[in-house]
Amino acid sequence: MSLEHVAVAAMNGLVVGASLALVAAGLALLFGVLGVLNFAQGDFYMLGAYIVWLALGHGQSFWTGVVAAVLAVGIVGGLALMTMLWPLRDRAHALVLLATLALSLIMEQLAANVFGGDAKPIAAPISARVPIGHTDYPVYDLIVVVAAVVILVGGFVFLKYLKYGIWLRAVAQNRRMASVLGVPVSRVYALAFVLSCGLAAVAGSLLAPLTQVYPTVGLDVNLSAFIVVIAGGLGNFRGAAVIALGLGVAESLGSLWIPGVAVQLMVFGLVIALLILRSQRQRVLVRL
Amino acid sequence: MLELQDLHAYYGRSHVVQGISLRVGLGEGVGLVGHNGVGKTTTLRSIMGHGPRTLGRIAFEGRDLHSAPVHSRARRGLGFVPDAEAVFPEMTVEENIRAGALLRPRADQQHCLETAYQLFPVLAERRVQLAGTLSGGQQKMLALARGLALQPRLLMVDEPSEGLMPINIDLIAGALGRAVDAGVGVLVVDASFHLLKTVCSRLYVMKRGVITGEHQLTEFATPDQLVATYLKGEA
Amino acid sequence: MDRVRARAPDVRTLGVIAVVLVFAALFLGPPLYGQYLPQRISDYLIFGLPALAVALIAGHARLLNVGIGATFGVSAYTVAILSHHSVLNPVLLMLGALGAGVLVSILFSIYAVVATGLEYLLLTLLTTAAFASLPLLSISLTGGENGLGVKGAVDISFGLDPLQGNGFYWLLCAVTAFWCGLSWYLLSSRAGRVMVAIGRNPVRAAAMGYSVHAYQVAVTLYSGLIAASAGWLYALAHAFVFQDLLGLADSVNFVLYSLIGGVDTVLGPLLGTAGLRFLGEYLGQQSTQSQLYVGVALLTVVYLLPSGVVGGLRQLWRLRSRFRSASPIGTGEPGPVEVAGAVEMDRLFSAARDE
Repeated sequence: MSLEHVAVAAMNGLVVGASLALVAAGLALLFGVLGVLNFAQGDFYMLGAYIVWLALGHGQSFWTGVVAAVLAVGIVGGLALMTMLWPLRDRAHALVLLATLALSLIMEQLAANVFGGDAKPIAAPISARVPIGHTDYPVYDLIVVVAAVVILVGGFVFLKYLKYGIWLRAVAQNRRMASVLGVPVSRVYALAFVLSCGLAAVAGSLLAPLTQVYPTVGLDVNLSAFIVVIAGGLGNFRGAAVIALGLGVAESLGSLWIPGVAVQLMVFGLVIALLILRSQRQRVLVRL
Repeated sequence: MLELQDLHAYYGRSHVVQGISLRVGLGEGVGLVGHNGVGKTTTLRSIMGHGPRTLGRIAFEGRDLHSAPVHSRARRGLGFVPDAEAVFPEMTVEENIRAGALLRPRADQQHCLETAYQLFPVLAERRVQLAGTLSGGQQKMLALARGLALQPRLLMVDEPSEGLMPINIDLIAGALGRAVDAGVGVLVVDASFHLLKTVCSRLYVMKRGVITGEHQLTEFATPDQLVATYLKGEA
Repeated sequence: MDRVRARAPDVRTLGVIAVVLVFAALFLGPPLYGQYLPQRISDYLIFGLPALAVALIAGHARLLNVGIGATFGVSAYTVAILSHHSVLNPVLLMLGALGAGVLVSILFSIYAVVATGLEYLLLTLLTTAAFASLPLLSISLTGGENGLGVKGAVDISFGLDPLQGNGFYWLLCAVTAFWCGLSWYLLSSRAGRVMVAIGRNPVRAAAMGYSVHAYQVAVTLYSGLIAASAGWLYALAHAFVFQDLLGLADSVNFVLYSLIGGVDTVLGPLLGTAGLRFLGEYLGQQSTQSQLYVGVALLTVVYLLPSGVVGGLRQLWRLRSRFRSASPIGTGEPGPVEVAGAVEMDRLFSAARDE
């Protein structure tokens, strides 16, 4: 097993991990603010991918498609979530979970109706390749990783230093007190929804050339994102991002030495061990 | 400046506040006393706008607050320091104070921080400590410092002295007293005679959801005399 | 005045009568009706029992266990695997299935002891997802992706043929009635009420001297047994087991059935199962849009019937009797909860309280 193989596998892991990190970060954000996991997160990922496909079909460039995806899914998705979940904010969390699950089912069905169930391939905007040792590695994949890291770092800065980011954390940690201090809570909620959907859409649209586009493309990401968010410590933006990248790499590297099935089990085992070791902490707030 | 007329408040079926009327003027310190559970906290919450369903008039600076959301009441100059869970636990002391000051221009924000640290030096010592790791008393001081530093026109404070050492009770009483002198209206629910004497000129006695009396603080020379007002007439 | 009062029926008696009627209808109705109705109701019962298990562990005890599906699947696989190793005695197979279920439940009990809240949920979720891959580790034993047939024909089900006659159906009804009856009894017993109290506020319960972990382990094992018995019956009824039985899909379904039927009741999950599976069959035949309709149905429940169908009916009934007797009795909700882990659990199932 040469170093080159390992490097390539690590890169692959980073690519997968990067998109996972974006989705998971969106989930963590929403969880921190609203206290619930959004089952439909993977479906916003899927929508992002479809919008890129639509854009390409209408003669637009790939990057236009990505921007359109982020804006459209972020705003429309965010508003839809807000409309659905705001009335439920003081009710049992189980209801919110059910509502997002229902949304997920409906979105998948509608996507299949509108776009058909077949997988649609999308060409990467950049077909250049870069040599890593003896292998030629696609430049586009590297761009995805860089883009994801930039976005996540930007998210971190936003949460720490910018007004709405601080308000977001305040609302997540103590909604009552935030409103008493003049924070417009409903506006912050709406922002959280929009950002969360937007992050999922970025991931979906950027990864579309690598995974193809079909109605259930978001499901695998969804499950992994859930795992990451809970393992990272709910509502922990940075933790989710880091663990996502780590898991992506771990699974990719692991599959070099261990056959398919067992890798998944190994990953599960790792996360289980992590959780058991960490089971003391129980705070459920948006941290950095 | 603040006027309640026949306020009723309900938690679900529970008729907690059963028709109270009170007023607090500019630069006036007013106390609200009574046993536990008579509805004092509920009254404050009703004025702030979160929690119970309310009927009756709540007017702040002449304008009816009815149905204004909490954050807009805050922006009109109404401040509230609850008795517990008043801080953002995963933010540092400094971030906590800043979070409140974000609505102001940059220069003001720095001024708020300095005011808060001057009020309670212990906060300055712990400016980078996570608020959730502070002791209960320190969290109360943080919340109060932040509340005062934001320069509200009327500040409502719920049980500021509870659980605090006498030295710290002195500190907050002094801080609140100076705020009143500077023209801030203060409505405080508390049981500490010393604090009430320092901060308030007037107080209302509350019993089982209604106000049973209004007194000047000068009527009382000892704590027992004060307590007697809300024990009087026990069925 | 008094005469009018005395006529108003006791809610409890009415409830018991209703239940007896339901079970009588269950035992007698489908066999009389014929036309494969017993087989379809059998399906509802086999899947309804794990839903009941979920309601008990996640609803009453508030342990968010998404792994009931794993218990169900493991028990079914145990029957299949044993039947391939010449174990054809029906009692042994049943015990094997139950035993396997208990082992899985022990694993979940360990999780309950070391973790709480959503981390517990994730542990059970991950374990269940992992279980779905387990058959691939030893294809010769488990049949891998192809699944595994169950050998032994009707010998393994006490001579009762699932496809002919009503004997097997009555066995199912008997098992269902047994678990329902036992669950009702336990829930109304002191132990049951302690369990509910622990679910609502484990910190307070511990402070009152109850051994929280002991109760949690007990309820995990109990609900595991219910799910295991369902897995055993599944293997007997379908004579074939496959990977999907072990994974998350069924587990999520069980949670849905119990949430929609009413997670606070015993009959609710069963009715929810019947309703949703019927809906799925009907829609599956009518159109390819079944997912859409299920989603819409879910939304309807969430916004209009949040306590599930049975829970909603219960509330309606309570409202009626309240108007009748004209005395405003509170529903005695417990007081505020203090600790983060307990708050999560409480918030998952109940509305935020403002006091």
